Amino acid sequence: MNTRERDSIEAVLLVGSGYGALKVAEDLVQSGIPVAWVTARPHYLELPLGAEALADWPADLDYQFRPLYLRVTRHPLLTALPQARILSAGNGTNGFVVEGEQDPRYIDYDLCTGCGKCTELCPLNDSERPPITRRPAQCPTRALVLDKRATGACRVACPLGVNAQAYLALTAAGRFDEALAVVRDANPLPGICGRVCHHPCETECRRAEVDEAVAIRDIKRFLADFEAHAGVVPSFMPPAQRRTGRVAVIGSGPAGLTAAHYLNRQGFQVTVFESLPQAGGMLRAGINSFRLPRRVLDIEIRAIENAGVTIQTGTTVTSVQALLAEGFSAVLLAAGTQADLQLGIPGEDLPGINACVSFLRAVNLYGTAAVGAKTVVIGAGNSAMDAARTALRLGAASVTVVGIEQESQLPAHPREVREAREEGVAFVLGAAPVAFEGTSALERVVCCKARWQPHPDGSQEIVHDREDTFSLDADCVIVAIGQRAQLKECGLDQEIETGPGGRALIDTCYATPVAGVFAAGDVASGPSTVVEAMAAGRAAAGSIIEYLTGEVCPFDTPTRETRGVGDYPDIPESLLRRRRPDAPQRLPRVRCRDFDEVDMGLGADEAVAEARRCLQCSVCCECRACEAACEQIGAINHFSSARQFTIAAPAIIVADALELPDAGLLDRDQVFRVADLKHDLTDVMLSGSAAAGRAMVAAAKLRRAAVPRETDVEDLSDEVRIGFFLCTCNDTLASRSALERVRDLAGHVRGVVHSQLLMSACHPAGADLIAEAVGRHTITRVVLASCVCCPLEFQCISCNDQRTRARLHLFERLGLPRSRFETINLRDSLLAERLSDDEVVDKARDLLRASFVRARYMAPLTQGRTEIGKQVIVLGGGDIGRSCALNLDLQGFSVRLVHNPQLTTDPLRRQPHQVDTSAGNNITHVESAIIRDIRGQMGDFTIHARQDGAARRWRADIVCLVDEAVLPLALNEDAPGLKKLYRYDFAFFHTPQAGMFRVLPRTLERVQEFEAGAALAAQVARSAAEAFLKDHLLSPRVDPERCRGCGRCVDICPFNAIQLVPGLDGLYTAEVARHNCVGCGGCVGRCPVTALDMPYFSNQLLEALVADAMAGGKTYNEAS
Amino acid sequence: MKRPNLLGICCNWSPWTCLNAAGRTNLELPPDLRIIRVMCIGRINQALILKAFEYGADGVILLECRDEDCRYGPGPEVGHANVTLVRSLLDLLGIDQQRLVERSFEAHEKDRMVTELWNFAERIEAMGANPAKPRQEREAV
Repeated sequence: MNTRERDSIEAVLLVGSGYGALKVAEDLVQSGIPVAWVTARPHYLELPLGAEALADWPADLDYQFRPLYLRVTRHPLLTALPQARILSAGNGTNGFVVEGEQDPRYIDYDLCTGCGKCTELCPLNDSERPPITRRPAQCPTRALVLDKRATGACRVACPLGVNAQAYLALTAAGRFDEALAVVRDANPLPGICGRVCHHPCETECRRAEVDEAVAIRDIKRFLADFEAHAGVVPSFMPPAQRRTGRVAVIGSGPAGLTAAHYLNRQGFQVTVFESLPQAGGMLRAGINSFRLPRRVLDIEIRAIENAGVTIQTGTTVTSVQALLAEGFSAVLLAAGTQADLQLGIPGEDLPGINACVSFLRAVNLYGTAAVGAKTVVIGAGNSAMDAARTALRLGAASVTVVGIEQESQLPAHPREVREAREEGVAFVLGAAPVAFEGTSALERVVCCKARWQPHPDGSQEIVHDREDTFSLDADCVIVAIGQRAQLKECGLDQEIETGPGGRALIDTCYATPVAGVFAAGDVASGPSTVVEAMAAGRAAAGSIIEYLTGEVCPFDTPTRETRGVGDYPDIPESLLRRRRPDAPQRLPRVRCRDFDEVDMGLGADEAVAEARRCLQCSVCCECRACEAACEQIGAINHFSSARQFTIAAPAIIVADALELPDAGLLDRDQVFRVADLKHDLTDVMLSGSAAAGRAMVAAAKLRRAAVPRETDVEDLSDEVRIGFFLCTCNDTLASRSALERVRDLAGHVRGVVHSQLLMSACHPAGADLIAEAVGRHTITRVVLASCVCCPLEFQCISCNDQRTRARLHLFERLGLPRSRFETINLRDSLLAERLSDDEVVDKARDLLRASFVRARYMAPLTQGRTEIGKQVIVLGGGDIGRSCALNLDLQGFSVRLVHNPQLTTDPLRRQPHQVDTSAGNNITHVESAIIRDIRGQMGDFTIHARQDGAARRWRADIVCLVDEAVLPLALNEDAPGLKKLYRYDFAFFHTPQAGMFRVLPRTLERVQEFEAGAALAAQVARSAAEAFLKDHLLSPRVDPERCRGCGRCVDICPFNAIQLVPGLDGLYTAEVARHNCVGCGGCVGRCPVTALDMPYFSNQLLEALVADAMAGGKTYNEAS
Repeated sequence: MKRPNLLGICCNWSPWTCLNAAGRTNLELPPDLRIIRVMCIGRINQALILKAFEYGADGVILLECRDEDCRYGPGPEVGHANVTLVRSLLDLLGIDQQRLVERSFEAHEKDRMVTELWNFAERIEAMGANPAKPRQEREAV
């Protein structure tokens, strides 16, 4: 079980989900500022409007949001806290100190591969409310979410905490053996409890609000019977490991047996001492075979014994000290209440008067008891009913029960009373015996009317109405008014302190004052029920384990709040009323003739139908069947607990005010709002950018400069030693045998030195396996067949979280060289259910062919990012320009603000702008200038201008076109294809050229100028901090020998990424501006003389692929 | 009899989606067709198309996105330009221009793609071997 952790984070706090929040997070993390993102929703894209609302938005948004989502949620500066809430926000030294809590996440988002195998094992997967789901469906992760609500009332009501919901779910799915295993885990006596338990679970069943409680006990009995009918002899497994420490248990009743079972299961050697000749305690001595057949009892006791518990029958323990001296480390007294209480009225010593427990013991163990023709049973509890019905079966002509209580208050279970009555037992209620009369033997019982009356001390006392006396003829009486412990009789009271009723005195941990001696069950609590005694036995076993080892009690009796998130779902309105079935019973006049079982139990169909009535209140029934599917992955943890966190936040950005604990927070300084959705997505995102820009000022000191992490350029001229890894996606990709064939085929490809199946490539352990094999076999090229499409360090519209994660593990965490990886997405091409093994192998071979060719033509990728300079030129004043410049200045940029830029050489028409020079010490103001042109790329722009009639050349890393007059300097974004690639960025400030921003008039219809300036500043800060070092050989290279300066490449490039520069001999040669290049290769294809090539995907490689295809895949992949 | 050599150069985006969908629904493709996948048809230069014929292709089909659909922008435009230029070169080489085909698809058009591929295969088979191949190879077809 997880311990509760408390994390401390220093970051800007972002509250709420949705696209505005996503934009905030993007701008902040990509500008180097850490963000803690707290939202109540399971995934960030789930909007308050509901997932369905996504469908109403333009489909091509997907092109932007998938990569955006992945880029942001897997960013190292983002602390993702979904399913979490803010509890309080106070003041700290640097802004706010925010406390919060994250709900337990039962499926680890960082481990789940989304294979979906768990859903196949879930018994509730086909129900109306499957517990394991992917949501929303549009989310770019395959990870699953488990819906686990508050613990079911039935389970909470059970003293043993037996998971009724789980075994009902499994029974409903026809998985009876698994269902029984769930019962047995918490209750080692399912057949017994399936018959005699007083089923408090059913009392609490929520189904009763609609019609009737589910017949939980009958289903439990069915499960045990079903196993027995199948001829299976149950047996618990002996513990895998024995521990030191022997424990003696005195008494083999429900408490003793249960304690012995659980102590044994934890590895302790247990000996149970039973004074009677057979084990079972009250289960055997007190409960008749017509309610609990001896066969069931014997089987279940034997199952416990088989696991290693020793039961010594016929042994009466008279001293616990002697046991301790004998070498037992602990003793559990679970002797029950074997002595009958006496009435204390005249004539109680007459022959013919029996005490209930000794009477039943005589019948059940020795078969020696006899009754008279007219038998009277005193008392109306469950034991009295047993005694009365036994008397009938022993041949009594009439049996009368005399009870003080009235019908509605009878202590016996109504079902017992009904069955006794059906068999012919008469009841005299509201009466109590006052004397037994007879000369040499009993002849009559004198009774008078009586009732219970509460005593001032809280107890109850009997009030007799002596006026109303009557007598019952009787030759036999069974007194069944209660039992008490008989410690005195065996001398144990000398060592163990006793209290009222002769009970052993214990503390809350079931410990007696004698060290190492514990007591549990009826001997300590007074008469109770089977399941309560069992629960006490198990709890005492837990205390003994704590006493012996110091470990925390390993047994779990959940309360409603123990696990789960949220309350039970409402009962669906579509539910149909349906009554519970009555278990079949033998006819009363037949069954009272013998001691055979009365109840017959449900059949399989009935049990399944009845189990389906369960409302599955907790949604996840916690049967834990899913864990088996996730054994290798380990993403499922039903016991994960909530996580506490503290955030020191210089600023708070609120994307969803409903997620705040206190709306008053919105009025405080450094709390910024993302506007709600008004018109379209652009509004929200623009507003998000503005909020991010404003928060950046407060959080600038948290900014972490992007440290260039350039690695050495890989030398790929070494020997080609290929390692082939095939991800089986937790054995869901295709049949094991087909994948083994693919693995073996790959092992025979020329150059392959190692070929291996992986359980998962996106799992940390899978990545570790690859790294380990690469080292062990000195692999120089890796072909990874999984769902990962490319080894590059960005996300495109096809990407998902698993693919991103795999690359993070391989290249970031383990530091494997990207350049040496060829990844191929096999998963999306193999749809295993539809393909035969042969088809899988053929298709995989076909797809892998190119990968093995490619493994020979790899080119080095240099990795890493670089921080570009902080010189910004803002062309255009006004409120936007000034707001942007001031914001950037406060963030530490140096800004040249040109208030009145013009494009033409016409005389200046505008009046010089009044400039407020008081603020901003890193702003260089230029009143007006005429801009000739802008050349270069991000990090190295040159602006040619005229100021005051003089020519100027300004250098800048980033350019902002704020004034409408200079907008034509930006590239046209309406070129085909560009919309798809960059659309959401184009909606506000981006141009197709990285590092060049512009403000369109339409932007101001959405936000006011000040906010627009802040949002623009956020974009600038982002670009400055996280410019891709685009020198990763995805950009084309020009061969100056071949280039003849025709300019076709320049014409075709929509990104201004290629320009002609004059060479030494006066000829123009193409040159690539790599920050502008998106790496599409259009110029390479357009070049008529093959002067351009892209090293990472070279002409040579393409030619090899064509040659290979034309040779039928024989050129490179022939077996060596 | 030697079967014709057909080469498909397939863009990774819409056309590959079609191809994948066709495979998943078990639609049959011409058996003589070999497909190589590239990120964008714009990446393919004239030399490569000519090389395909040099390596013995009897027909080459470029499978690309629609003009307005290209994920990068210039892909289809480059494709059109190259097809026009290479076709005129094929003419010079005595290779039928019809042996180079260019088709564009949207992501959902798997059935049309399968039809187009069969049409292409049948047409090339009817045309016989590429005359630029050495005679013995040609006669084996």
